[in-house]
Amino acid sequence: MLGEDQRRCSSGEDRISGLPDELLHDILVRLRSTRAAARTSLLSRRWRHVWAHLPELVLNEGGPDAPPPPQRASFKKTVNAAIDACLAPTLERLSITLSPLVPARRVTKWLRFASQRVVGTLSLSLVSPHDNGEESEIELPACTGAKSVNLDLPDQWRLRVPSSGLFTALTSLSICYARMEGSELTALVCTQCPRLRTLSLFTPLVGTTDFTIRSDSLLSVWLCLDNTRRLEIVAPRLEELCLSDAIEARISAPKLGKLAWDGDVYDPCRHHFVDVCRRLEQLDIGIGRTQSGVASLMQQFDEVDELEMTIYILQGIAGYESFLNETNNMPSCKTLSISLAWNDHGLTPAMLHLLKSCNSIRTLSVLLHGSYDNLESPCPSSCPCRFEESRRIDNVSLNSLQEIEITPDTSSHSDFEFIEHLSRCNAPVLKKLVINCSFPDDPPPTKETCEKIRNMCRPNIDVEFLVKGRVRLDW
Amino acid sequence: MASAGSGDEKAAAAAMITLISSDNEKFEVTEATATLSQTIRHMIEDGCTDGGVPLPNVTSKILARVIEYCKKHATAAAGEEGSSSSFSDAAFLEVDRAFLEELEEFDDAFLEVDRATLFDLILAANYLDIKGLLNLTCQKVADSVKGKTPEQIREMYNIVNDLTPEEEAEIRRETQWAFE
Repeated sequence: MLGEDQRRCSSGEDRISGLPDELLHDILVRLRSTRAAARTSLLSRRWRHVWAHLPELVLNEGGPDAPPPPQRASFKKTVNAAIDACLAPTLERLSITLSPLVPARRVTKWLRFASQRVVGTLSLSLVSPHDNGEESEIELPACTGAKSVNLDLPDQWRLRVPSSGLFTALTSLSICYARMEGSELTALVCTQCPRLRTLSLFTPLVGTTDFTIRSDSLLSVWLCLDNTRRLEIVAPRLEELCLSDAIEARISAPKLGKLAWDGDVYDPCRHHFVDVCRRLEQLDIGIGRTQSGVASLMQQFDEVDELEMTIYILQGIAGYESFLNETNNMPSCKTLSISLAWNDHGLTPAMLHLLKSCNSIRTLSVLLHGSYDNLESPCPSSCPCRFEESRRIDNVSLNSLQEIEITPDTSSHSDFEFIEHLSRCNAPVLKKLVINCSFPDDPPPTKETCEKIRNMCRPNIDVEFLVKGRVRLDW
Repeated sequence: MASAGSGDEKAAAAAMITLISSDNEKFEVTEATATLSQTIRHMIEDGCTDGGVPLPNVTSKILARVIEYCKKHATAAAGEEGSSSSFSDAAFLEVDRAFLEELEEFDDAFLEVDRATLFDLILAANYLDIKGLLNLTCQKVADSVKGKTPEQIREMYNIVNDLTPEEEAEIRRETQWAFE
């Protein structure tokens, strides 16, 4: 004992063991690994049970503290052991990430544990990269205390939610991959989650069924539900909505400010916006490979502060004409953000067309990607993009345009042609052009290129070159 | 009217708080700096800061460090409120980023202290309820423990192993799942 005391004196005092439990928890929680925390039980008597009272259980296979691959099969045992040893009456976080297939009955046990203890976030990610498991059913018991539930479950599983029981505190729910019954999902959202604010569902419905959201609490909804026959949303406080395919939809959301239409087809006869304001803060849409009806969707709105378009123009004359038709009439907007994947049509004519249709903008942001320099099959000379008229700028008038941000594709010269045209457009209040060279492997533009672009523009336009969004090139 | 306005501004600028360490040293700090501590914020709200705030649990050496941290982070908080973060305004983003980087560097340098000071800072941050400082210092201890064996941790923090061999064997059995 004397030897031990001497050692203590010479090398300093044990300060850490003197901290109150609450501070030891603060430290151990930051290991972000229940396994690592549990190993401190071996330090001394003081430490033996400290970890078991931690308010978080984090059991992530593949994390920095994961067992090596040969032992991974035993990881589900680890989860069971940790859950059995946990002494915390409530948990701020229960997070389990596991990739080999786990039998559903084990997970049922974990979910039951979660429903009793979790008062914060429950995250369960059990998606196997090798989808050869059996079809199983799993039940989500009512988690009365949990504020946030995120479930990523194998797609051969079916997630059942008993209709009894409330998720009283739940404000955020996300379910991915596992199939669900439309009626159970409807009951869950409409009657069992009275405080739900954010809902994110990326899951196929069983059979082809209806799904209804009637909620006075929801603010944000993100839906990608395969097999939806009829979707109905009545959400008086809803502010944000991202929608994927539904055969029919009826949406009543008078507070809606942001809409992302991620589905292929918009058909005004089947997809109804009733009681949705004709003015939006943000509209996010795609034009291209499979989408149709974008023009009709845009006509639902007179004014959009920020219009975000992801555009892919199909090959051939028909592809280009379809692009023109979809974008002939656009809502009046302040900011236009274009993400353009390119193939064989001219960049300048397409951009000029968009600017003609959207001439009230104050800010233009363009992200270009794809290759259009070495064309394998340039579009035929009869394509409207080749017409002389389509490069005319005297009919493009951008009276409100103040700022342009362009993120060009890798060192392509078509981009510069477009910038040159743009610089000659009638834009009397344009004062800033930002060229964002953000592609990681690209060399920054040379001094010559920068000078060339500056010389294209009016002298009173501030032309700025940014590398990776931050470093400003001084030349 | 103009003079009244500037008088108000002066009063706002002069809202100073006196903090008194356990060894009776006095520190004058602005209210913005002091209120990073929720404990002091509540005292100010309750109007019991006249004549200084005695902090019997914090020595002058540690209080000086805590104030250094709060000053830096109070400026950061004020900067965040004032700046724009419009996506198109790259210049502003750049300023924000530069400031955040500076703050990170400050934090890293701030943590270059001996173990005893680190634990004193943890206790002070806890007592004064300064969330950022508590996060920072606890994370530092957690990082130092990461990937270490129990023997290494004991040595690093002078923890005396008072477990009997039987107890140790029992714990190893119980928590085998955490070691394999």
